[in-house]
Amino acid sequence: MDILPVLKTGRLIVIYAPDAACAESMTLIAELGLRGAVTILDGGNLYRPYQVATLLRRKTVDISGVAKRLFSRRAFTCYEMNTLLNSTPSLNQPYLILDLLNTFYDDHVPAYEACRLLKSCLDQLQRLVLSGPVVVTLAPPLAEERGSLVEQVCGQADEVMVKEAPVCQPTQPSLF
Amino acid sequence: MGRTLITITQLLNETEANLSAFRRTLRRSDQYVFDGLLASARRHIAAIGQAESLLPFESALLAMLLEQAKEIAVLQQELDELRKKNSC
Amino acid sequence: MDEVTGWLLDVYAGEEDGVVLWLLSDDDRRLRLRMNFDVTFYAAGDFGLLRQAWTYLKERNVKLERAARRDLFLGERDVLAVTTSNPSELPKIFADLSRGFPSLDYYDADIPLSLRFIAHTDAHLLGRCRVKLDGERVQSIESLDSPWEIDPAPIPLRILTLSPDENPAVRKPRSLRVQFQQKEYSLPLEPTRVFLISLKSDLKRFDPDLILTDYGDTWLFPQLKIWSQESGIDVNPNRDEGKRVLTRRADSYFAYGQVIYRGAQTHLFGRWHIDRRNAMSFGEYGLEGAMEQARVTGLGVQEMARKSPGAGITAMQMLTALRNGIMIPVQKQQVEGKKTLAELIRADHGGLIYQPLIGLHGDVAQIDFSSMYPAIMVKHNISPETVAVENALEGLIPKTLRPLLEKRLMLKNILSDLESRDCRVEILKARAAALKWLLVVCFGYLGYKNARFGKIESHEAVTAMSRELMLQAKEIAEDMGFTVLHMYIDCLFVQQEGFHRPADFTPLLDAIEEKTGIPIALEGVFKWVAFLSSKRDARVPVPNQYFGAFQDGTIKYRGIELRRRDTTTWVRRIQLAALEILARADTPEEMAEYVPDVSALVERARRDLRAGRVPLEELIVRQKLSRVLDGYKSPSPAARAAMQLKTMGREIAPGQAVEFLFTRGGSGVHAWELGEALDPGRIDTVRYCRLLDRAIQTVLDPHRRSCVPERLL
Repeated sequence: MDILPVLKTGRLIVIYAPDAACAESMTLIAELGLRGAVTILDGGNLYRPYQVATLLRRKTVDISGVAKRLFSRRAFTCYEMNTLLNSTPSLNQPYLILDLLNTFYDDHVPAYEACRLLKSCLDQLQRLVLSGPVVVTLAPPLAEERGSLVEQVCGQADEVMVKEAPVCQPTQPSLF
Repeated sequence: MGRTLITITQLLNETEANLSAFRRTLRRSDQYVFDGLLASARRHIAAIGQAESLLPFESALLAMLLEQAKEIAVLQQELDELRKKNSC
Repeated sequence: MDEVTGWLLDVYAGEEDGVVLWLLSDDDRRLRLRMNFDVTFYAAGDFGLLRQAWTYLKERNVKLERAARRDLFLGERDVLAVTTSNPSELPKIFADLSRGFPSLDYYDADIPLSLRFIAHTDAHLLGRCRVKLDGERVQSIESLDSPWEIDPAPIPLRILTLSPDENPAVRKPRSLRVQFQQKEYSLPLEPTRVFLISLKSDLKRFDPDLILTDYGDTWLFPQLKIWSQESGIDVNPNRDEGKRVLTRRADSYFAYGQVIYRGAQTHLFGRWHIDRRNAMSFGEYGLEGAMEQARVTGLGVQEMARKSPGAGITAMQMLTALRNGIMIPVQKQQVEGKKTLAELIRADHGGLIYQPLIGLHGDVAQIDFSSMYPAIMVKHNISPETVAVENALEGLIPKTLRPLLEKRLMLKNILSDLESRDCRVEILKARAAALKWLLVVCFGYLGYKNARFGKIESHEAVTAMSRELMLQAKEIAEDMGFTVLHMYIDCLFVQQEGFHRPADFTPLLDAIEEKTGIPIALEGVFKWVAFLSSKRDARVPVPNQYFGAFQDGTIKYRGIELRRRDTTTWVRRIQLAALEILARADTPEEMAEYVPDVSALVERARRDLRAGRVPLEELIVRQKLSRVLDGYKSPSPAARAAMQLKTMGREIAPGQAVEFLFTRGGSGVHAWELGEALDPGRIDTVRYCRLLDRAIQTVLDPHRRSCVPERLL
């Protein structure tokens, strides 16, 4: 999944994958970090700082320099995600929203409330996309009735990339 | 509230898993020594964590060296005692 | 105008207006009183929306005002204040308004009524008070003591105990055991009409303040309702006859890293109901502890007995906020600040865990910081609104915790001065334990996602400070010549040649306390203690897994089979007996003398098992179901047992424990609640012996290893 070439200001890219594209996101963060500042908003406790540092080390000796321009904030409820997005300034830099919908799938939050908050979040994404490229990763909902949330996000995207779950594990061919 | 950062214990487990092909290829006797290296890192999990390094495995390597140096010091001491005994 | 003094038992919303109070008067009357009590909630946000909200509420029977009120983080805010004289109406008014205007910020809209009452009147639950009455109307109420009283006047409660003769989940009960003061007898459940009439007359005759039951939540009260409807004989267990019982449904939820199951609940009005089988911490500190928690948290006894201490600490924070004129948000609004990668790595750590030196050690002192995390919050003024603010006034969290911390310390000091046979010891211990639980959870609630006043940075500040203090303690110990064997979050294990009396360690304790400013105490001096290694690799130490014997012979153990709930009673019994044998050794070296006794013990246990002499009850394995049955790819033994129960119509929810035996052949398990007699010959003795061997290996290994010099490579 090569995301870098399609990234540009004004484009909202959505990646939909069973694990909310955790590994791909870390690679992307490292790649973008080498080029400049990045804002990461983590909705699913998905950010892997050590993994990003290790990836960076393969490309540069100055990992502390890069580490200083990777800015992250975490949201643990959908209310927090909404507040995070609302308080993120428009800057000329890429934004990565990891597992945006994770907290919206919480069945303690009524569906109408999740829907309302998501609408507000999407408005903010539209604001941010004017100043820098935005990548949003999504995982499938835990219960089917929240599937419409995924559709809402994808409906706003300029490009949706889907990573399917591997159908079966690769097996070693038998020798005899 | 789940933590974002994995613990040093988890990190060492992951590193060990990533090295499983390497370990598998070693002779059984070497595997035991290899496991000992990781065990020596695991004795210093607190120090590795406190180092707050971006690459904790660097600190883990230092912990392995430390345990080796300790082992050498102990052996050195035993050797000195033996030498002293023999010279008497 | 009448004046009455007594204890405040209960507060709840009246049907039409104000609140209902129940007072246990000094002349042993139970008085139902009413009091006018207005409640207010607030809405803040866009002025246009607030104007619309005003118009929306105009037709309702509420008082509307524009006011300025304080938000803990944002300071003064212009708000719409909505006041009603009927507290029972508030939830509905708020629900309607927040549905119509979801983007407004709401405050003080979901506070337990008892907290509002306490904040307003200063009278507290289970506390002594004086009321001035006009008929049944309270004109004024005055508190006569404080929840922080060390030795509160005991309440002369009338307690009625009701328990069925069988666990209703397993077999249908036939009778109900009734116990009141010295009286004790059995009421047959059939014929139903006779039973209901007898129970009704008992309730009237005894007029208990507390009904203590087994399975009252899950069986007795739901069943009473059904029987009442079927027979037409109405039994209302409330003292307040105008109210029906309040029932809450069962649910499974995720907390503290595990799935927790909470059974259905039945709450009463005018008297309390506690189901001993459905009370989260009741086993730990009993009625005395639940009452202590109710006293200091302001939540009713029925709530506190069933809820986690987290609910209690939240209530205490709310009370502090109400008393200090700070609005309580319905939704937490604080989010994490921006962190760079390096800052995140620095911040996101837990407490300090120092790997132990594996093996047996003699003359080891264990020293513990008392309530370390709360003490740090109080001493260093760590609160969500004060973190990273210089010279901040005392924050909301330290203000809440300070009296709690002081009271627990005082109780502990009193306890340490009392003889162990003193009749006050048990009660004081229960109360100290109840307070300890509130203190234990208060730290987690600083960063908990649903905490009203939480901020992750304050949580991180506490762990960072705790690591620093532990390192300071380690350095002091080492400067004074001690070897630090192990450190775990807030306790240290230290050793020094020639140091074995408790007094030998006093200078160390004093030095640490002086440097850190946090009280530290000697838990005890072990004659010997064994720190364990990983079962996978004997060279890898495992934190917080140890066992040892204190100088007075008391055994202490952590992390071994004995502590695990899924260990069978039989294995636990034998492992404990083995430890008791080893505890006779006064030094690590002496242990060898006792190993043959342990081997003989184990041999006898094995023989008893094979000969069928071990009661089946002792072989029950208890395991929690971690998910719904359909969710298992290869079902665990617990899941297989749950499937057996399902075929006979009994559903087990995730988080609920299943009891079963390991058997030979078939699915390998036999669900205990199946109720059918099991042929003892079918017990899988090989499997049970394996479980025992593992447990015995745990306690003998450190001795075996001490006979061979340690080598890492």
